[in-house]
Amino acid sequence: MTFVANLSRPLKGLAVGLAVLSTLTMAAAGPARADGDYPSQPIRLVVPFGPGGSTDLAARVLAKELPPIIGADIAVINVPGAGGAVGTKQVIDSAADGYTLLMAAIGSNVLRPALNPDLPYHYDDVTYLGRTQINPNVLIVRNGTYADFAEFQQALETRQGKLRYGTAGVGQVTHLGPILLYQALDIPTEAATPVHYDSDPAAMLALMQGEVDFVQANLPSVASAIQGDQVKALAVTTPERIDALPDVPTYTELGLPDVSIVGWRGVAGPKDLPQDVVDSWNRALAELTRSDAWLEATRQLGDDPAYLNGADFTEFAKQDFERYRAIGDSLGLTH
Amino acid sequence: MRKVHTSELWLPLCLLAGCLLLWFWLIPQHIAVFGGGAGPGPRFFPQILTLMLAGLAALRLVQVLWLSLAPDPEVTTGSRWRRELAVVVTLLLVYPAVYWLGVLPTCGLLIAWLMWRFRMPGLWRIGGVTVITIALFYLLFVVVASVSLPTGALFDLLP
Amino acid sequence: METILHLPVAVASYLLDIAHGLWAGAHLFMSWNNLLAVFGGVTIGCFFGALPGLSITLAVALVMPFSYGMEPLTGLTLLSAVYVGAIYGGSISAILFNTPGTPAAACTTVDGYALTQKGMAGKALQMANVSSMVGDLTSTCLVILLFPLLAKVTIYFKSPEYFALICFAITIVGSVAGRSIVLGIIAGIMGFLLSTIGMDPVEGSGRFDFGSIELLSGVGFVPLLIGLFAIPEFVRQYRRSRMATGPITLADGGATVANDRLTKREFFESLPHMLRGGVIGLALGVIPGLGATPAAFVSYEQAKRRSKKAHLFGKGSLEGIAASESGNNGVNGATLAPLLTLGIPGDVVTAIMLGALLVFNLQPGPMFFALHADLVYGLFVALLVCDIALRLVGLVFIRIGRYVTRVPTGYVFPMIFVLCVLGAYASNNHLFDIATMLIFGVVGVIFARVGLPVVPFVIAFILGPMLEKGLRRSLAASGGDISVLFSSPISLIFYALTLIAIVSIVRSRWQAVRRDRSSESTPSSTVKDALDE
Repeated sequence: MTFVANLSRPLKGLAVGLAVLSTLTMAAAGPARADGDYPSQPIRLVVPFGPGGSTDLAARVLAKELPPIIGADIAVINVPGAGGAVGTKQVIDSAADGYTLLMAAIGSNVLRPALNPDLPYHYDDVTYLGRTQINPNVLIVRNGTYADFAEFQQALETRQGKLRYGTAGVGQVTHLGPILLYQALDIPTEAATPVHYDSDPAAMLALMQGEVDFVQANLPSVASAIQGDQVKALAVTTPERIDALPDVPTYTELGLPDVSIVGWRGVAGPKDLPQDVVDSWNRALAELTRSDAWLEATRQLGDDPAYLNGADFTEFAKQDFERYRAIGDSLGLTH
Repeated sequence: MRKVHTSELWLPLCLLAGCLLLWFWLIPQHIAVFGGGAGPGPRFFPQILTLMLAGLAALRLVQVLWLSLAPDPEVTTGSRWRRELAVVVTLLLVYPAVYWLGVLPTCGLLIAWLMWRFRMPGLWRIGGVTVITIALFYLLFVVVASVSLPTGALFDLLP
Repeated sequence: METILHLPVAVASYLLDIAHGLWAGAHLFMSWNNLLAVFGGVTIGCFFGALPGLSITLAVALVMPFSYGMEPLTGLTLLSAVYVGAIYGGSISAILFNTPGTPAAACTTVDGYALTQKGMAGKALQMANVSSMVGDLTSTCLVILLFPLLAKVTIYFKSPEYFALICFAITIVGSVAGRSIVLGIIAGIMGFLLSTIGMDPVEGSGRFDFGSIELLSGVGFVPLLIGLFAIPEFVRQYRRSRMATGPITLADGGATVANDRLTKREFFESLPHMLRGGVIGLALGVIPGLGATPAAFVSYEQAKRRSKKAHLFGKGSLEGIAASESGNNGVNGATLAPLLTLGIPGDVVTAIMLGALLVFNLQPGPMFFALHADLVYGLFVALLVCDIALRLVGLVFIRIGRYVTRVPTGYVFPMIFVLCVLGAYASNNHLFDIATMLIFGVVGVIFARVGLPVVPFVIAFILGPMLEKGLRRSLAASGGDISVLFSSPISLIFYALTLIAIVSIVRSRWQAVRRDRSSESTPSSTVKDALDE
């Protein structure tokens, strides 16, 4: 405090002037109030995960292809932390003017709130603007252990409690997927022990090492290992077969349509977005998801384009949330 | 009669108090356990570490009391330490400043104020360097690295 | 007879294949774009690494959008070059300002800043540069020779082995504990405890989060590092300048840079440490999830145990700088092995490279080397060129660094402080990180008061979560059977090394105590020792 008292008068004047000056420059760049002609300035798209991850890449593809359609630049901002909760909360708390939006993902928007009731936000604290893509999961085992799904299913039923599976963390798609499988097969959830790793590829490495017996991971992380004959794919979670793995049956074909767990990404914003923002995003995302450039880039990332408009996306997120909340309750994960 | 350096007693005593706090309040109350899965749970490492810390703090206490350990000569003490503490505690004010004024205005004020406190002569020089530096940082962070530096909450209150 | 002849023939053809590949790679690499990517990348990396507060992540995130739009080789080259530059650049601020520019340089601060205080900043900077280059070169050459085998090493490293390795790495706490080993270990345990704040690394439940989402995401490492190192140093410089009547420089405080050329003798004395550092970096780099920081620690620990001047370690040893800098730079090339052959990123930089591969429509995995041999060899050539760039760009940065010591602190430190504020924010785009940084500034000053060393605290903060993951995953996979920890020869080797390290630390402590007692009659002997070389 004594330091401030010691400030000489001219310096104080300079300081105040400087503050005013920089505030003005910030004002020019700061958020303007939305008025009719949205968007009138760049849009911040918050990615609640670190750079280089699949949600980040999806956001960057979007930020590259969308500007000509929506009419404004899109800046991708990574706010990682607490499994996506920090970035999501940041968007929920921001001004609902359509200039701060969220790259929504299953983990941060549905799984975290479903399995952690203490989290300071709920799955419906955001406005869902549109789902853009899903990513299929695939059940893999070490080469030479199980020839097909029937053999694997038999092992799961007879060797209860002996099998271990790798996940990318508690409450991730990779953790809940196998649980859905036991429920569909009507065997107790203790049938296999989960071992939690940091990411899908890390879980796959553990499978190759023999530390775990199977993994149900997202496709892009394991596609090369399947093609290189290092691991064997037994089933995929999408309703239809995947182009990259034409010989691998879907769970639906195997008579287990309930194991249809997929990761998904889309765009969301704070609650109570102005109607013109919602409309222009609905239009823009519908157009984007039909454009060849976006379709190609998204397929390269290993995702399946799967557009849903705002209303359908909200309903979809609700169903997903309820499904995983029920699993969480049955596991005692939600304490 | 051994001479006990009372100033050295503070650390082990504080650590022991911290261990008690951890053991009886923080670990049981503030670590959720889902259960499931074999092996040690989330409380295992905090508990082990608390026990080790308590043991070492007790060892340190013994060292100070019985070996009459002299303070490390390299340790900053006395009025010098109090002044340093005063400076870092004053620097904590940067956070409210960043929150209310925004990042860049705070940084501008900080540079000007600090240069002056570092006994740089000439107000024009301080002002000039401040403006140039802030312009450079703006260029580096906002324009090149496209980091969006937050504006202050004070600014949001304006109509 | 024939079988005996087969081996040399096989080796020769293997080497010929590599030479062939390198030639093709060099062909692919030799374009102005790629050269520009190397030099530009290393410069940007050095710049971000050298400025305290600007993290590697920020540097890589900065070039990421550009690299995604480039040719695959150019894009990957740029990302690698930024990484190589940043890992080296971290040592510059470690040496000059007692502030590691990157976590991996935390080990370098110990000896580097001690040398600066003795007026040998120039020597320290030169040593850091040369050893970074030699370490990186050693490991890159080995990566080129052993690339197909490296992925197999990764396969053998399961959770129990990982745990054993971290056990060994964590013994470095004893080596950098400072005057009192008890206080050093206390600081280490405190760092470990601090790292448990946030989401449990295995079960994902909250620990000590008090319902706050900020605490749930854990204590940010970049703000912690800046707060603990940069702010106390800033305060010291602030006090110094307040005591003077006018502007002063770092050089006024004894940080003179006369006699700062690295002699041939010093170089050759440290060369074994550099080569070993490169090999250690390689070995740890192929294990995903470790990163450059443990490599620096392990290399430092090994060098200290083998050096003839072990007592100088921690008080300003050039060998110490050589060991830690070659160790952390040795990781650079090695992380490519798990990335390209398994698609497993070891850290944030390789995670971004993985993203780049997907954007370029290159699927990393077991087939990658077979399908894209040209690209892999091109990347190897790029890494080799990076080493040359590292030396050249490094010389410029050393010049700037030496110049900075003669600039009034009134310019340097206010800017560093503001950069720290900006950098803490930019690391995660989160205001809470600025608060974290400032709070750890207070913690750093309190640590200096009570005699707790900062480096063990930071080391335990980094290694603690790895240790925890290793142990808990091993036991989860074995169903709680502890014997799994001791079942493989690799883990047993690391436990043995851990024991040896502990014994040697205890012994050297004992010797130091005896030396202190005998040197009380001639107190100047250690100072003379230090200035001797």
